[in-house]
Amino acid sequence: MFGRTHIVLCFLVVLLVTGVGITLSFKGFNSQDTHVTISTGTMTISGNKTINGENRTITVAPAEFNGPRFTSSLESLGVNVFLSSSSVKTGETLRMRINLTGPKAWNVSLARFTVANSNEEKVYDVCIWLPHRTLATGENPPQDYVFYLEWEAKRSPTAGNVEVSPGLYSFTIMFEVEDKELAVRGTIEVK
Amino acid sequence: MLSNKLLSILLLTTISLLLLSLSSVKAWQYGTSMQPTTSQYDSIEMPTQGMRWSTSPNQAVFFFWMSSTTTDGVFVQNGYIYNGLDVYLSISGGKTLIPPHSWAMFWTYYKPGIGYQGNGVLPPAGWSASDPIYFSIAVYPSLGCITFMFTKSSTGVAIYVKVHSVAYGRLSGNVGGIAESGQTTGFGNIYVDQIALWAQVLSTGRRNSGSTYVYDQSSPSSMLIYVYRPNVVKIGFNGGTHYSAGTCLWSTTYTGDNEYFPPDP
Repeated sequence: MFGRTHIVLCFLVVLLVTGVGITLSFKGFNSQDTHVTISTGTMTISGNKTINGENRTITVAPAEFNGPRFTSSLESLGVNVFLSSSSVKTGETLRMRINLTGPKAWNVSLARFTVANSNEEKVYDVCIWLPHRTLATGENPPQDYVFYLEWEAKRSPTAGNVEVSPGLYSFTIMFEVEDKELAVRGTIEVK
Repeated sequence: MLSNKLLSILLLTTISLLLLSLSSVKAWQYGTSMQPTTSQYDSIEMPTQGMRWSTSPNQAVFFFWMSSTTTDGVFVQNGYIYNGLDVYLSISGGKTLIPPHSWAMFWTYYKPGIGYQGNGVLPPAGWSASDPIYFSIAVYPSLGCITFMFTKSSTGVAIYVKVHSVAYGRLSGNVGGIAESGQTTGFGNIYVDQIALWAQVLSTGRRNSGSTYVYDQSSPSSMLIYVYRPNVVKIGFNGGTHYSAGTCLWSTTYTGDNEYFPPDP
């Protein structure tokens, strides 16, 4: 028999589900957790044109930056690099949050990121393009800029597929500002 | 014992909550909001002249994008990028490695307090820099989701990137951006035969064009398309990367016209 007690129970279940949903929604809003899904599928545009494809998914794990900090500065540009961890296991990914500050922070559009082993042999070597949002009319260029880097502790075609094995590695992030170079250097332990 | 009145209230509340959850997923697509000034639809896209620019082999990085900002300040963009460097190129927050001297697509977003995230999208097999590629952006405020889409119109294949838990405001309207490249000779010389902003009424699928400005600040500074009101949509080239070792990397002639957009659906 489906009595009043059942109806009340149903209501409480719906209320609970809604509450959990709202809580997760707010958690998502406040979190830096970014889930990226790349997929191709079938969709319709302009009412009658069908687009075809196949599905692929990539998920980016949440990033926290509780590791060591490395800094460097010029007169017009300061750089703070925060690591997600002081060490990384082979095959895993180390993340970095980079804060640029100062009058020239907005002018930087490329950074060179290299990682080398204890023999000073490069194991990773890329340039990073730093996108810039469109400034509102009359808006002054911001004096801070935040971007992110990742290093997967494994062989990379960017540096000749040199093996990455446990040990101490050094990294360099190089910026060029008004014909001057600014480098931030630090160390990463690979376990 | 519960009264019948109380039970009715509980049932109504339950149904309301279910309906609310079903109706909360809504997409606001593309760029900027425009005031309706015409009832004409499916008109010819913005009748630009050809746009041509040249790049030298030793250029740094070349890119083209479309972008917009949500009402909660999240800036989103997607477009082409060409790595003219001798090393691999990556994009802030991304893992994709763009090989030296090759092209790719990209998406990025800026969120206040978080910074810039993005990634490259390597062209699938069979995609060429000379293919007509459509770039579009949609935001789903109820999900906080941004969708970037890259469509190769000649084959009807699209790649879309969904980024969750980012943007809870909507784009302020209904404008898309298109770059259609006609032919290319590698990336030494690129020719785009049409570039336009367009709007689509989602309920009917009809498209209209116009009310765009093309603004040429002249080489070597940025070349831009602005939609002036009431928000900013920008298609263009980033300034400051068009010279290398004193060599002008590209130059352009560009003209545009004004037409009109339909209202939001």
